[in-house]
Amino acid sequence: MKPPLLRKIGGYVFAVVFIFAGWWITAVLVNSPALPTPADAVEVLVANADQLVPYFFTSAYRVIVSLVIGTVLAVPIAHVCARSRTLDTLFAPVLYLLYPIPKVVLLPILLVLFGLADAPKIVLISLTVFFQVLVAVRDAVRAIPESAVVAIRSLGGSRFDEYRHVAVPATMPAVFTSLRIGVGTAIAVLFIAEAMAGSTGLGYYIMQSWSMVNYPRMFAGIIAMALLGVVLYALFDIVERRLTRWR
Amino acid sequence: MGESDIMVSIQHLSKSFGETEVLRDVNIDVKRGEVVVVLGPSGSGKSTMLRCINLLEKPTGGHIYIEGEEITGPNTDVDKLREHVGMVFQQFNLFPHLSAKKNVMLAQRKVLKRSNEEAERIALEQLARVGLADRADFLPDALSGGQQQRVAIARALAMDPHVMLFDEATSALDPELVRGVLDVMRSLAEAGMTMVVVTHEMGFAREVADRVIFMEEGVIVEEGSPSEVFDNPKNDRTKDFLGHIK
Repeated sequence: MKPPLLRKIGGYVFAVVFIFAGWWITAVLVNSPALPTPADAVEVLVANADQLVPYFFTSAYRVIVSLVIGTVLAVPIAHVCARSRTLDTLFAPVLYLLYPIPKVVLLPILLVLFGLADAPKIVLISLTVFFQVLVAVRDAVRAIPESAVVAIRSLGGSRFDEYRHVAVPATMPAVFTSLRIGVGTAIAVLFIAEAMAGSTGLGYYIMQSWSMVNYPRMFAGIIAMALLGVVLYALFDIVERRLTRWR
Repeated sequence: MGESDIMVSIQHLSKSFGETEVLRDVNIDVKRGEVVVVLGPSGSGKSTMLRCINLLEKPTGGHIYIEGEEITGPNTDVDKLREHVGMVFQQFNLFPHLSAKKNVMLAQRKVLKRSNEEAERIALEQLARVGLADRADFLPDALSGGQQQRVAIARALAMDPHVMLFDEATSALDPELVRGVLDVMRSLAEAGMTMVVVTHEMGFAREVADRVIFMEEGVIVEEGSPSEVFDNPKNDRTKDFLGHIK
């Protein structure tokens, strides 16, 4: 176990050093107050930590709730759609047309319908996540070889057993892959939604600092938002590895 | 020969997929303890015939009886039937997230409602029987194809089947792994298991089969003891097929 783990940690250390070095060089070259050096950024992050924390948790809450809602809705629908020819012929074109539409354009409508607080953001991000997970899981269900299903049937397994012991394990990796990809999109959508409406969350914090020309404060917000993405991504990675240990 | 000596009786079985007729008037009686090997070119309907025996395919016509009970009637309890009919496929299809032992335990627990202890005991017995006692805690990915197929056989055996169906069980295996699987099948036959085996392994058919059936285009073309079919085939198509294989 040890050598690969050490190598992995070494890899991350190298990555952090690499990113910070690139950032530092760019900051020196650009020489603009909008792009502080890493040292300055860490300093403002520490200095602004107190007031940042509630914004961070507001944003984290919105993303996490949305990821959960989107996934919980998408997974069963994906399984049903992939298994039922009738439903699939009915809904596949709908899905095909709706999936590529950037859900973020619906933001103005959602703001009118749901106000300025958590609801429109959660609805918007849930929608985004929903379609990503739906498409990935539906394809994964379809990729299950017929022979796998036949094998469990030959053992006397019920329909439920087919789901529980074949379909669910087979699609678990797809759920997590789409979630990990989805985190990036989800946070991007969150940023736009928070920046445009309301007075809470990191998106608001960043754009408010920008309009006040308080660049260090703005940058602290940007780092916080980046951290949110990294933490969620790593979290899914860990959970996936725990749940799909056999791979 | 009494009724009870017939394990599987296939009478006038036919099967069509839409317009395509895959099986036509197939008649086979398999006696208890008999090993019947079914040969034939791909597309001859032998796999479909096998799948009809546990209703993975629904026959279009004819009757199938297992231990005297008709399974092609309207009131067949399919799950009950499948408990007594074990099947091994070309693709092993183990549960990739479960160890070899857990693979063998799962259906025992869920379908036969055996206790965890009993299922585990039987799983270890069956894994030992296929020569994999020391691989009980391995995940399928860590096993060779031949070992995975032997786990699949153990998984089917753990359900106490009265008859075992083998659908090209060695066709997906590398040549050097085929032997271990055939050895397990041979020892099963020697232990008196009733078996219907679809295979391309002529050596196995010759040595182990009590009876060989040659199918082509959905009908039984020739049938007899291995020496009759292999050394003295009457039908030109059989001769042709055996000539190609050798």
